[in-house]
Amino acid sequence: MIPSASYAVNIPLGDPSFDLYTVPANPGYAYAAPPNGSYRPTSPWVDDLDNPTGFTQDNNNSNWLYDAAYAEPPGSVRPSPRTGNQAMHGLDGNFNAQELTNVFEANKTYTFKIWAQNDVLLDQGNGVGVYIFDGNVPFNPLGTGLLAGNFFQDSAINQRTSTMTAVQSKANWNQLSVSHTVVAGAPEIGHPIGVGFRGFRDSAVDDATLESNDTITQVVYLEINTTNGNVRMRNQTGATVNIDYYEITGPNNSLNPSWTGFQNANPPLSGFPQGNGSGNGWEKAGGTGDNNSDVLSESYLTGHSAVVNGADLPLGSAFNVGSPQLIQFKYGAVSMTPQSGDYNDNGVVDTADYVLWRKGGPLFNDPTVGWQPADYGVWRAAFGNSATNPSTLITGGVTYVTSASAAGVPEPSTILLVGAGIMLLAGMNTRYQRMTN
Amino acid sequence: MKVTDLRRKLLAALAAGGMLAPGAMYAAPVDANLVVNPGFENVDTNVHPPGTVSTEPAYLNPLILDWTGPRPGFAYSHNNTGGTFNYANGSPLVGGGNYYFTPNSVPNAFVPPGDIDAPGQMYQDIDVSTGASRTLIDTGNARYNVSAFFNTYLNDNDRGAVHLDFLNGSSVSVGTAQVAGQAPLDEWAPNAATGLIPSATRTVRVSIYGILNNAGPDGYMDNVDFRVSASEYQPTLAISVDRNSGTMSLSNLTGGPVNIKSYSITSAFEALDPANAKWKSIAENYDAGNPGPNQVDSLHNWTELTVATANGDLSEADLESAMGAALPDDRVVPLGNAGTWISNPNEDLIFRYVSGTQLVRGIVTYTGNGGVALPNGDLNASGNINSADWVILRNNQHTNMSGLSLAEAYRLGDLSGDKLNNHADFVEFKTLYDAANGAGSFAAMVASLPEPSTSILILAAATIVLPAIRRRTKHN
Repeated sequence: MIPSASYAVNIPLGDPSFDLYTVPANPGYAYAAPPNGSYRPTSPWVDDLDNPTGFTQDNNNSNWLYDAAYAEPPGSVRPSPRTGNQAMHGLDGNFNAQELTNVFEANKTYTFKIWAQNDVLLDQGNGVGVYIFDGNVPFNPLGTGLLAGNFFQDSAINQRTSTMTAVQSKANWNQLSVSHTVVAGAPEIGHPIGVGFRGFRDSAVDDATLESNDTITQVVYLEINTTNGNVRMRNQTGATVNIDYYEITGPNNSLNPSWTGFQNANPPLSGFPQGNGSGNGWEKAGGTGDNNSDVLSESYLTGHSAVVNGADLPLGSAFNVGSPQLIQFKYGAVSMTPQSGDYNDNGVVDTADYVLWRKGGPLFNDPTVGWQPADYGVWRAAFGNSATNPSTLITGGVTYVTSASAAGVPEPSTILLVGAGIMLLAGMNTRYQRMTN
Repeated sequence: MKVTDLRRKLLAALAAGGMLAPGAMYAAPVDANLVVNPGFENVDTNVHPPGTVSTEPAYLNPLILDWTGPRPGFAYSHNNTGGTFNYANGSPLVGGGNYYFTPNSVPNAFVPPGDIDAPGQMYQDIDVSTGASRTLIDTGNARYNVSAFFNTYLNDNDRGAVHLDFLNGSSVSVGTAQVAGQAPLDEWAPNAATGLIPSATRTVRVSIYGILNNAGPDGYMDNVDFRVSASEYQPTLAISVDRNSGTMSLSNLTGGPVNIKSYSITSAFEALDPANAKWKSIAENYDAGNPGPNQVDSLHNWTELTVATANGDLSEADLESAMGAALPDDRVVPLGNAGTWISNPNEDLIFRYVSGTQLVRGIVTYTGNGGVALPNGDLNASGNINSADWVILRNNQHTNMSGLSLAEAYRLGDLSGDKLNNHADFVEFKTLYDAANGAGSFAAMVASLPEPSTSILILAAATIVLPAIRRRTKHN
């Protein structure tokens, strides 16, 4: 079930490349307000969104625009503008933000991206932050209107080196991003989209973009059949997502505490071991909510399971038919830190890695690239190490289907059918990727 | 200032003056404080540590006398005697005299001598090779009783410590012991430790120092007490808490009767249960109207001041006469059944009582669990983190905890302190579980299940590796 609209939609931003206001040729830069130029009256990036609580873009401490000539040595050590003739340089963590006429829609995932590069000299301040906020709430990176924010330290941003030419610096930017998923029933639905960034003294930004995607192409999602109450966990992100936890929440009496989940699936789902109470597999939470809301949750203490791309996992009859469609879904996504000696890159250093080394590779996670006899020692010293990090709680998607609309989706009653289903979805996914490219 | 052993002090002074061989003629008694200048009142007000820079005036804290070792110690003053500052929290210690010891009085820039932050830098060697103490030590039943009053600077949480080194006739250590300040140190608070003295002990080296937590080691101390006894000694009334069961008792080990009119035990983590089945209050168990074993007050009726549903304190008082009763020496009164303290890793109880006209900060000792606090994540207070704790956490995931105290919620899996048991708690527990059970414990747990495939795999690996090694040997 790949909706025809499931491709990224670019939402235009005002002055995305910081070229709208032309800085004076001398000195080659401009602040928001005089005496050093004045980009504020015309730039969409400084519209005083949190007025009157101290928005400081309209003074000499604002982030500042500069042009390509100013960026080049001698006399300056700034990143060469990525496109056009100008870029924005950070100063002391000041903010620039803009509010769009476009509004947040349910089941969309919004991603704000901006390119960044550090000065040759890193001595005066650290990093760039990117934000998505509710345009109806005054922008405050710590306030209630903030929907998502990522801050990138200098170490996460490419640096212009002293030997780089302007052309090399143009190619040296790296893109920072922040995403926000709007679930059905979320308060920001219908509100203007707000995006913003902040910069410190050692970093510049250029070429901001905002796109929206159907949530189901970005995160694992639940497909709820409103005809029979069956709920399925699906992955159409194009990549495996490892999880050790999920929770489904909804209004009181909208969820069925007798759902099968992973723990009681019959037959068990491959790759989702059923715990015996000791935490050695998926086990249901003891609580299923209170008088205000319902919660269905399972977790896996001693490991995690792979929700592979195309996965379509039945969780049983978890939705009470006729309930309001206000279900939320979150899951604990397990990230991996690559471990030396994990030669097959499956997240754990185990005997399979030894076998791969014996066969001569190729070896992933090999500190000395290429097969060497000494790689055996690396494997042995690392044996048992796990790449698993604590899981991060991700807001998943939720879609609603009827039995009629869901017809054709195979019930994975046999392994054969599961395999066929994955192949079918994988094929569709390829088509989807082609469409977006 | 406490009564000290004046005879030993005189001998020490003579020894220091070269008039007497140190310790030669001293026969240490039992049941008496053997520390000389234990309250740091004997100071040289003409000797100060240097300023941190030459342009800065010298500190006005005076040199502490009677203690020895490579690093001289200096004093602060409870009452700004001679312009010496007071940096300790709360009111001056009652009975604390003018001065107290600071391990942080010497700026680190002036090492040596520098801060006193380890045993053996400032100490007294106490000769117990003769006299009553020696006789008792030889029986193997001699107890050391070491105590002091502790404080710190603001929220530094630096802690003073008294360290004992038991030395045999050849000055070789045959054992150590220590007592340190116990948080919360928002005022002068006593602490005490006791145990058996190794029978080979001939000299006890009593060191004082500061355990550094923030900046300099501001572990202030006063009224240090070390004594050899057949029984336990504590300078104040004490509450003893069993870490695992949460039982609680009130004891008087001060060596004499102590008047008590009221008391309060408080817990910021809300780890106290005042229910009748838990808290054995004087009002309901040991007063005039409710006589029973271990009766505390046979003349007056006490009143519980704690609300039955509150978990932040246990408090009661003789409101009838406001005179209270004398708790006899060596009396131990059971004050709480199992669960009175809701066992948890935060050992934050504060015990205060009114005796005569004094509000006294009493000692709180925690016993059991091998002498260490419960580990975080040990939800059933068994001492370790295992699948039994997981069962508790999982059974209470997404349950309503709004009516619980912080400690009660913790015991049901709220590790993050928000009275919810959700993903955040799951992640924290998973991390603790992994750490407690060792890297790769998940794999180990799986491997411990009866799965023949594991051993077959290992065998297969071995059969592959052996020919491989042989082959390579040939090539080389």
